Formats: sequence, structure tokens, C-alpha cells
Amino acid sequence: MTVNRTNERTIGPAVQEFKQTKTAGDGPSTKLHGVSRNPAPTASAAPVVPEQPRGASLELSNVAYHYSARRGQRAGLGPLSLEVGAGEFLTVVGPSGSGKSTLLSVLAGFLKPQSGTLTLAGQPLKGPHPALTLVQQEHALFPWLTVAGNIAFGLKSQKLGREEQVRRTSDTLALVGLGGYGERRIHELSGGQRQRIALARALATRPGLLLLDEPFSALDARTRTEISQELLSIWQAQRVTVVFVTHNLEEALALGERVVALRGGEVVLDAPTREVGLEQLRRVLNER
Amino acid sequence: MTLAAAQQPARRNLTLLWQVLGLLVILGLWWLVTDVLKIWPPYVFPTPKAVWQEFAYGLWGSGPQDGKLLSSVGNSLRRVGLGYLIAVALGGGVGLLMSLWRPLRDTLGAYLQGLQSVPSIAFVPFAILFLGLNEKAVMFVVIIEGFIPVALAVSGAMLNVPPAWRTAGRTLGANNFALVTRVLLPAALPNIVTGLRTAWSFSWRALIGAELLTANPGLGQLLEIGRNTANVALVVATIVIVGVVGGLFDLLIRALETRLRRDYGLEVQA
Repeated sequence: MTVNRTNERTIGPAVQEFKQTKTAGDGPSTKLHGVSRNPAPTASAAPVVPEQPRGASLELSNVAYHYSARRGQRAGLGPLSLEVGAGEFLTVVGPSGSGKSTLLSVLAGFLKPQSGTLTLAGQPLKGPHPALTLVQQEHALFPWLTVAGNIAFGLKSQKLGREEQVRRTSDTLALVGLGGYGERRIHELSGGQRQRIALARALATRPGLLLLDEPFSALDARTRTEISQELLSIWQAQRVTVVFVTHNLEEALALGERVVALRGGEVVLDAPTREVGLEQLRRVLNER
Repeated sequence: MTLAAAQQPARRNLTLLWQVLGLLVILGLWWLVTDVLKIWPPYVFPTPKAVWQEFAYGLWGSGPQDGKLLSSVGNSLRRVGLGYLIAVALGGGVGLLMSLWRPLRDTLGAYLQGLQSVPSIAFVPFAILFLGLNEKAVMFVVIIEGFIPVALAVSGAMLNVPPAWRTAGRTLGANNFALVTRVLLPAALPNIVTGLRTAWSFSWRALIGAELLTANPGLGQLLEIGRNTANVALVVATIVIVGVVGGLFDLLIRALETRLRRDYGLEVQA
């Protein structure tokens, strides 16, 4: 509880900024739920416009995963059904032990659900899938590779040609505002830059579904605001489907089009973010 | 960052200065107890000059009996070089298998851990009886002593790779083979190199011990010759050479280790 309060204080102003950009210059848009279509000034360097919308739809039906009694400390999940539309930005919130991480592990293919089915873009999803990538809480960049080497890692797995790898690497670096950083070493980067590169590494593979596991939680409030803005404008430009998991309620409401609240492995709220208030979210999660 | 970088060469020079001073103090004390105070007779504890003469004859002398030290260094290095390479190759392979396959780790890994506490010299009688009083016996001991730390280091380093890197590799499309070659091995490299350094010093020590007990021309045998001919200056000179050669290679591997750790953004031991 105390932890949450501190978070509120530090993140508070940041959230205000999100809210402002969300409402400022809002064009007539039905799909975007009021998120500004004007690219944020911080990400004016985002030049890559995809040829077509890339987002993949995701469907979970009656998916359940429960840990055996011996490992009973971790939170189980479901049975849970959920649909995420192609190109949608969904945030998932919940206190620790609500099953957020389990959900992500199932989505990323690291845990096989004990029951239920998952489909990605209409295809059954079993195990890690090339069309989805995960950005973790720790940046998990590879220090034995340069920044460019990190970004090209997934491209090599996709067996892309050398030229295409180089082109995509520099495009993606520019996308996160770090063009010219390709030859840097990971330890030469700041925390915010590292997380930007981690995001770039995931985006470079052109995923249909981007899973984000509290990716900015280790960053200071200001960097967090900046990088969240960039994520929003990248999402607006590329229309990749995003599932963003966080324990921070303000962040969940500020970033997503739609929020799903988990408690005890079950969905206790599923609504467009503009229709949900912070108080309501706290109430359903039993946080005060 | 820049401040630390600027301070580094200065500190290194200072360390070097202290090391040279320390060496001079040791030489001075040595000279004092042998040449001035004459505490022991010279055939029991040699003077610096006698040891220096052994170096001169042994390393760059041109008389018929000279050059023994140099050729012994050559013989020992050839032996340990080959043995160490075999140990690293073998240990690397077995360590990799142990990290990937639990039954092997639980059996062989545990035995190796126990075997590591057996001093290398204890293997020599077995090696001589099994392989004969020849070079093969020496190689056997060198390989065994290098192999164990490499295998344990590779296995341990692979298992200690942070799970976040595994997850990242898999989510970026690496299959099992790519996960090992492109994530786990490079991630484990700094700790593997530390193991290589341990293996080097184990192999080198094992070599000298084995050479001493078998009749193979090398530094170990030179120690034995020195004892047999009551030439304590030769014994001391050989000990110094063994230390210097061993230390130089250690320094070489340590330089590689430091560079790797720096590139990886890990803390570097001073």
C-alpha cells in the first residue's frame, strides 16, 4: 500500500502530461479512443510508416494455468477469455499475485496453458511465435553485442539478408530516436536509452503483437513519460497490437485504449480507458 | 567516466612503482642475509650473484653445458601448451554437455568437483604405472588438472546465465541451437575465461610436479638435477623461471578477462 502511494506521487505529474496529450488536438476518430494522432514532438524522428497495418488479433478462450501446490507461491491464471483486436493497445493491471506475469508467460509461449486455446491472427498459438516479441522489465540487452548487434539479433533469427538487416537496424534506431548509436556498447547507455533499445530490438522483427512487461518501471518519472510518449507514437504509426502489463494504475489508464484488471487470476474489469476512472480501478482491485 | 579513465593509468603506474620497489627490497634483504651477514653457507642458501650466474648460463650462455634453462622452458611450454589445449577442448565439450543435460551434471559434475580436491601430484604414481615413466604420464596429469576446472567453469557459467537473457533470446526467435551459440555461450564467456585462468595455473603446477617425478627434460627435471648435484642456485633460478613463465601466461589470460568484463559492463577487479 505504501509502495503504491509513493508511485502515485512520483508518477502523478507524468500522468497529467499523458492526459493532456491524449486530449489535445483530438481529431474525429472512433478507433483511437481519443489518443492524439499528432505525433508527439519527442518522436518526430519516427519516419517508418508501415506498408499496411501489422497488428495481429489475439484471442484467448478459457485459458488456465495453475502452478502445482509445491510451487504455490506464484499466482495462477484463469480460466480466462479475452479478445484483443488487431492494432489495439491493451493495458493489463493488477497487484502482484494477480496473474499478470503468468498471463504474459502464457502469451509469450513460455508456459503451456493447462486448458483453453490461444490464437494469434486466427492461427493457433503454441510456444514462442515469430510474430510476437516480449520486452521485459529488465532491458535484457546482450552486452557482448553492440547496440546494432542487439537489434539485428531477431533479424538474424528470421534469416533476413545482410542488407535488409542493416537497413532495418538503422530504421529502428531512428524510430526510437537513437540513430547513430549503433556501434555503442550497452554499458555506455543510460537506463532510458537501454529500454529504448530493448523496445527497438523487439520492434525490428516487425511483430504483429508486442508484449510489454512493466518495461519502464525501473526508469525515473521524466524518462518514463518521454519513452511512453514515444511508444504511443510508434504504436500510432505502426498499429502493432500491444499488450502492456503494469502494476501502475495511472500508467495503465494513460497509455492504453482499453484496460483489463486482473485479480486472483481473473478479469474483474474490462473497459475502454476513457470510460474508467482511477477510483473505479482502485475499487475493483480492492486497493485504497 | 572520464575522471576514472584519467585516474586509471596514474594508478597503474603507481602500482608498478610499488612493485618494483618491493622487488628491490627483497633483493636487498637477500643480499644482506647471504653476502653481508652470511647466515647460511652458500651451498644451502645461494647468493643473488650465484642465481644470476645460473640464469646467465642457463638462458643465454654459450658453453657446452649452457642453455639448459632455455631448452627446459621450451620443453615444458611445448608440453603444457599441448596439454592445456587438449584440456580446454575436452573440458569445454564436457562442460557444455553437463550444462545441457542434468543427469550428466549430477553424476560427472559431482565427481569432478570431488576430484578437484585431489592434488595433481597424487595422480603421478598412477600415471607412471598406467602409462609408463614417459612423457605420456606427464601429459595425462597436465590434461586432467586443466580439464576439471574448465569443465566445471563452463557448466557453472552456462547455468548462471540470467534468465532474462534466455527469455530475450527465445522471444527474438532463437531456436535451441541458436540459444546456446548466440546467447548462453557468449553470456557465459567472462566466467568461462576465469575458469581458463584457473585451469592454466593448475596445468602449469601439475606439469612441474609431474616432470619432477618423471625423467623428462623440462623445468621440473631441472629442479631434480639441481637437488642431485647440490646446486641450490640452479634450484632457486628454476623456481623463479617457473614463477615468471606461469605468471606471464596468467597475465595474458587476465588481460583478456579484463577486456571482456569491461566490454560486458561488468565490474573489473583491480
